[in-house]
Amino acid sequence: MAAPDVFDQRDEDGIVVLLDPSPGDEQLDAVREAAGVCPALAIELSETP
Amino acid sequence: MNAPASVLVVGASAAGLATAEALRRKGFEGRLTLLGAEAHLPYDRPPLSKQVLSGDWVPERARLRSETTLSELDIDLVLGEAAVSLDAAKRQVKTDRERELAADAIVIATGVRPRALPGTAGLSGVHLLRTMEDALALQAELTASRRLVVVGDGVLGTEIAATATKRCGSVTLVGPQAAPMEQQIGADTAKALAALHAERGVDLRPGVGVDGLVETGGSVSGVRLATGEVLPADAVVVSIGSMPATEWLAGSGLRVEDGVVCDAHCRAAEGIWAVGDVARWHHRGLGRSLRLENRTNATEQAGAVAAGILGAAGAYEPVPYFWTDQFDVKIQVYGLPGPHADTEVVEGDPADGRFVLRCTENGRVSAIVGWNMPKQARLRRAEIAYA
Repeated sequence: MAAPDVFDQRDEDGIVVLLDPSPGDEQLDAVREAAGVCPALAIELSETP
Repeated sequence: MNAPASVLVVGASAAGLATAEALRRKGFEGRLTLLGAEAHLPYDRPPLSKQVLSGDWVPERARLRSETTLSELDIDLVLGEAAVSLDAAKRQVKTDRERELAADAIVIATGVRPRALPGTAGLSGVHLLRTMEDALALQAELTASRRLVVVGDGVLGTEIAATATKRCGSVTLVGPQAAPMEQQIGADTAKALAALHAERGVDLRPGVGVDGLVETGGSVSGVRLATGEVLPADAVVVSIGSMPATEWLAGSGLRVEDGVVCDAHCRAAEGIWAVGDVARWHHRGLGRSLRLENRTNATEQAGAVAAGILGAAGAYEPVPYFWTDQFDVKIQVYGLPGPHADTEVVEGDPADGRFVLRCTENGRVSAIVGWNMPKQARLRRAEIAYA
């Protein structure tokens, strides 16, 4: 997983779970990477200053 | 090497688009051109044999990115125009509209083309599946009263058979292996998959070759097996593998041997890279060349190629990974399950319809296969060790 502090998977079916809906700046690169590589295109990122 | 001022990506499907996106994400600010032979905005292929074929998704839902997201990438998106030749030394591509595109770095992402059965061109009712048009044409043939025969028991053929049971009264899957996808998932899991298909109404004809198709008045009417038996069919899907789309590279100066031959960094020549289904690169960890036709590799390799173009030094040596969804089963495969691996159930229980299998070869974990246990399988990926 590209951002393990922000996303996890459900044990029963593997569906992605959002652990932190507004991650801090230090997570930004990892979250961008996760959104870019997620094969299910399930991650939408909105960036506000 | 200095970062290039311009990059041209040839191929606008998953690998090509992911390369463009990764370049921008990693800070590339130069001119970026994405050239695609298909007229559609970039779309995802895995849903074609599943949600699109079943009719659960409208075609637009398979788009990889929205128009807004694409425009924010600030790329020259050239669609419906195919590359017809490459001059690797000049880093120049010619298109079928007689245009010449040059760039400091060129990324080859032209994918693969499905293999056809010889002598079946123009025969009505015979289908291949690679593009959105292919999926919709096949979908139109799948109705309750029709009999579908799928020729080919690899990942694609097996997925099509599973999906087709939702729409067709009769689905038959024919292939040379003892059980479907044996080569990709190993014998034990393939047996479980065969049982699942049989239980859900797929007529499996394993271990048999196909001699040819039977024609009646310009339409296919059956599939002739090597045993002489003829399976009656109203529609036939041929999914017997594919070939890298490299014809346009003839005379380019690049080495092409079942894919564009690349070094450990996915570089085919100075300033020329290859990514996705079309790329055959040297996987250092496995100690051999590899070409992977799967969705995950398209994205991962795109990240590696983008990093390489921008000057990063690392070799690309991923743990191969693909998934397939069939009926209500999700299969995840990390690594390469060889035919001679020892296998052991390490999580769950096949009797409960959920398990993780570990494959070991020469004392090393070669693959992890998950059956309805995606998270547990992923957590064991780290057991696969190269080097």
